[in-house]
Amino acid sequence: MKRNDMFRRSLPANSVFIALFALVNAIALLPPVYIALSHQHGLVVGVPISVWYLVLVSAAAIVAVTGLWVTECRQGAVD
Amino acid sequence: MIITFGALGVFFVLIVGVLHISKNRQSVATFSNYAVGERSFSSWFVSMAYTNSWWPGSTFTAVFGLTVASGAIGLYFLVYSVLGVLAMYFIARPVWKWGKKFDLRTQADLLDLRYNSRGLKLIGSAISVVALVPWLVLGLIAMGAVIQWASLGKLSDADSILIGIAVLVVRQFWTVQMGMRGLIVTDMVQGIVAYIGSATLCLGLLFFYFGGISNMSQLTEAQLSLPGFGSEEGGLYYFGIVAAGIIGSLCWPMIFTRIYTASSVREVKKGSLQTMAIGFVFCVLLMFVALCAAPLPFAAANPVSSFFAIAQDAGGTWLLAVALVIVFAAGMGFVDGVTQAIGTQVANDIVAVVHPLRDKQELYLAKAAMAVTAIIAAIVAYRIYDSPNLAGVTQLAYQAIIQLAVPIFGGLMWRKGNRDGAIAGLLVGAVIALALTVPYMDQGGAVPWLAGLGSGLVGLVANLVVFVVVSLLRASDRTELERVDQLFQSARELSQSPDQTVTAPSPSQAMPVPLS
Repeated sequence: MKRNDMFRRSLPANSVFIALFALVNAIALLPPVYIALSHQHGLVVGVPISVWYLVLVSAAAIVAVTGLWVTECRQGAVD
Repeated sequence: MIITFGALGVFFVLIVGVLHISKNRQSVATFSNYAVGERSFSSWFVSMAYTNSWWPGSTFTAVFGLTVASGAIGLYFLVYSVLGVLAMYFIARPVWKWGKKFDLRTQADLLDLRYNSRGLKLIGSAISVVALVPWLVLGLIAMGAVIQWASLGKLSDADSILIGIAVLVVRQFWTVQMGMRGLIVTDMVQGIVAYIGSATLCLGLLFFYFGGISNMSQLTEAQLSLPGFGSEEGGLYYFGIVAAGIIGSLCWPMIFTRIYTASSVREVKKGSLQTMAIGFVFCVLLMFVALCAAPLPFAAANPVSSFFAIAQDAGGTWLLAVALVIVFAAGMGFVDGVTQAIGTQVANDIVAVVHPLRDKQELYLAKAAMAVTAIIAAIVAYRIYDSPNLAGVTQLAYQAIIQLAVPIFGGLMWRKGNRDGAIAGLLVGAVIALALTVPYMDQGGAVPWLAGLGSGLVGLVANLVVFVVVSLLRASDRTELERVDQLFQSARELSQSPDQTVTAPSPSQAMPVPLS
């Protein structure tokens, strides 16, 4: 497969991941989001929601990049 | 004392043994091999080296202490550390490919290649080296804390610092001799002990010492909330520290160089994933212990040393010895990484720019620079270890280093970005960042009348605007645009001849670089 063809085919998938990374960064960095979520102190499985927020936004980034890695490997785009 | 110092001694001997086993002639035969370890490492070595450079010994003192004292905001380290590694994944292809093809060894080499400017290389390196020295000093001081706890409080502050410095200076003998290869191999051993050891210890503490995570329910509202608008810190304070961390993560030369040590783009990308996973597990467990420790009176009374105090309280001297070895391992890897980065940049990116050097001369100069820097940092650490303004000095360095993000990432993403724009942006951004940091040093550079936004970010915005405007107003000529186009094209090509390396273009080179 030609390299250019491969890039064209991977564009829609990449767009999904770009949107996903933008979403994760927005949840992590937008003041209205982090201020609101960090003021939720109810316990879920013994851990306050504000702590869950900080842990899960980090975990989301790992899940997203793992998905991108798997997608790129399937496309043969990782050398 | 015999148990604690004995444990540290055994670990030190183990590291020296590993260094000797891994030593070979090839590793220091050329400056390139010395600086990037023959570009031969798998993803696990890359990720552990990154982790060792990112989570130093002070994570167990300063970061742990911040969480004990202030609560959930301490987890900002987790957020920016994980999100920061994303950048490594995305820039892996062009950075590694250009590094392999043009024998690049540092981030300043990349700036030189991308912008065809040795001046930019020199400015970038000078900023990096200046910003790194305070971290080296802090690393040496953190080692002093380990020694003091190992003495069970019998040694004075000054004696502890001196012994800690002496141990690390002795360790530097092997770092100076063996370059990046020795560093990466020992990072693996130190990383296993520091981060896997820490995760195991933290799990044990959570299960058997705290009896679960119920202590978190005792945290106050203030400890569980991030600062909002109207708070003392300001509503943009959290945004500022996290954004600066994410943007700045790959601006540190010892972090950036990890990309060049990998054997392929695949290993860099896989290494990024593994780095995120290791950092996540390690940091979450450590922070959970810190949050559970926050309600304990003895931890709250002295948050910075509470990691050691909890270990001692939970398991006596033996468990304290385990905690000390963990922090010692993390601290040693960090100091090694910083020292190696300083040596390489001084030789490769500063002196060699002013006065071209032969390969062997660069090698000797890097070793000398590392030795001299280690000695200077040791003297400074001894003299200022109790300075109340030390944190402010490192913040100043941090606000400056993130200015490198514009020429690095701008150059990797925007083909029209050029030398004039990069230099003008870097200088304007650095000056603004410094001018805004100095008045607010005590707040770590957070500007009160900007709702706590960091001074470095203000400089960064100006830096980016100037970079774009100047690059458009003083656009590159056609020859330069074609050269840059070919660089980007080469980064897109799949690897065909992995051993191919060409000489980096000279600063005055006007013709496009032959890429095929």
